Amino acid sequence: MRPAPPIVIRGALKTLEELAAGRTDEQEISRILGLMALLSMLEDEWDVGASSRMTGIVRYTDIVRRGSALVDGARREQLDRALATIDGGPPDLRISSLEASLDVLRKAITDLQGWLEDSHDPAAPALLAEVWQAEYEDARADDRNGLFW
Amino acid sequence: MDPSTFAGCAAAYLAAAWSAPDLGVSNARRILGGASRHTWSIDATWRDAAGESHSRGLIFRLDPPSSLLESNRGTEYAAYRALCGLPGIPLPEPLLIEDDGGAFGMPFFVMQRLDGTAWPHELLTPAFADRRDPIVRQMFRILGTIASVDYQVIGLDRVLTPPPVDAAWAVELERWERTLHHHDLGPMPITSALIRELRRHPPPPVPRIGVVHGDYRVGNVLFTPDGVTGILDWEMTHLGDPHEDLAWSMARNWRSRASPELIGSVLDPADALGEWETTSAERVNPESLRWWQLFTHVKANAIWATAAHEFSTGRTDELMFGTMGWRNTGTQEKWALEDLGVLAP
Repeated sequence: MRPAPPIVIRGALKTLEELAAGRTDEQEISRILGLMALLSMLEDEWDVGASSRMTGIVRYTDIVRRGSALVDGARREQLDRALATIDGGPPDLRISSLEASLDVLRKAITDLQGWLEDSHDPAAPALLAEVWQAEYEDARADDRNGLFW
Repeated sequence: MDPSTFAGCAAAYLAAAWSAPDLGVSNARRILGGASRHTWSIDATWRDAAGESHSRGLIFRLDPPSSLLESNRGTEYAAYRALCGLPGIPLPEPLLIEDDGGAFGMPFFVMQRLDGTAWPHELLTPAFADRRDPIVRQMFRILGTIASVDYQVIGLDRVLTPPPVDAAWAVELERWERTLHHHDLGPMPITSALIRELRRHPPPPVPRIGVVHGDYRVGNVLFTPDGVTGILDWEMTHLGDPHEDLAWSMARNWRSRASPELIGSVLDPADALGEWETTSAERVNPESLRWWQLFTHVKANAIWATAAHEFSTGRTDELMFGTMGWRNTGTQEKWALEDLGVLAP
């Protein structure tokens, strides 16, 4: 059986940790720590990179579709164009394709949210709360514990 | 540049600058000194005209072709000059500045090397077990002292423009919004919403415009077990609302994984505010502090976006720049939403 890439990455991380332990030069240690940070992110991304983005696409698409029903004119056209772009889902499951679809939707969400914040439409507050929550889930999926030390 | 080449260039430059033809340089090493500049440490020894021997530890701060921030070398040097020697603000003495970069192929300045480390992990070692609390408290008393400085008395208004008291917030928000725009990496709905929120609810006017370090945090504070020995990295210094430094220094970014609720892994945020008030001669305005705490997310994301942009466009191949943008943005936006208080319980 082939080893799963995360297992191989963990092996590489262990090797780098051993290399760092024997060093005293701050620059060298910093470079090794940088490599370790990169590999850790790849390890985290390996299995969930596609699925987390697909989840985000589904979540944002639903909100943009419902938002489009609340607005009119140029704003509706803009939201509908975004929906048409990703109609039927991303062209393929490459991470770059999924990210491109997500960015189309993130742009639409930005426009919709600006409108919702100022809107007096009775449906606006509930949809705005959903936008905040969806954005939070999006950020959480991209959260790699950015603590300094 | 390798250490021996650097030592040779530094020796030639200092010998000419200080008219000390026999000046020698040893122990040249590049140190971790922030992402914006290349920082080198050396030991210089020489004899003066009377034949007396001298030795001094020096730090060279060089501007690489690609810098994380569009920082101003002249401003940083001017800040060191203006503040050095003021009681309660430990700083390295600035010694020389060169804008043409002839000696190293890039502009630089030279300052005194102080004892201590700026590596926050050291605070968690046994050597600092009972020193951590006083050191972090001192860090906030120093910040209060910086806030109390009259920038006109020390002549900083000759290099820095004071913002209007009711627009210090707008100047900074526009600065970092512009930075985000120039390093656009794609739509950021959370940061966009946060900027709209900050504009809708500006902070109260600043009672007194003060000196803002701009990047005051663990990591830019040099310390030994005896206490703080120096405040470093003044490259983002400007005049503005002292709450800006206070909010930035307390930001979640600079907390430790061991104790993310504490500052410096030891100090409760309320205690940090108390220490600041003892030396700033001002009371913390909670409304201002909240505004600037939210603002830190915009500023931090602008910095991460700049790092990612520099790496993505090939202006730098320093891995730290690439990982910084990749690793931090999601966390920053998550924190922004938590701090905004817009999420359902």
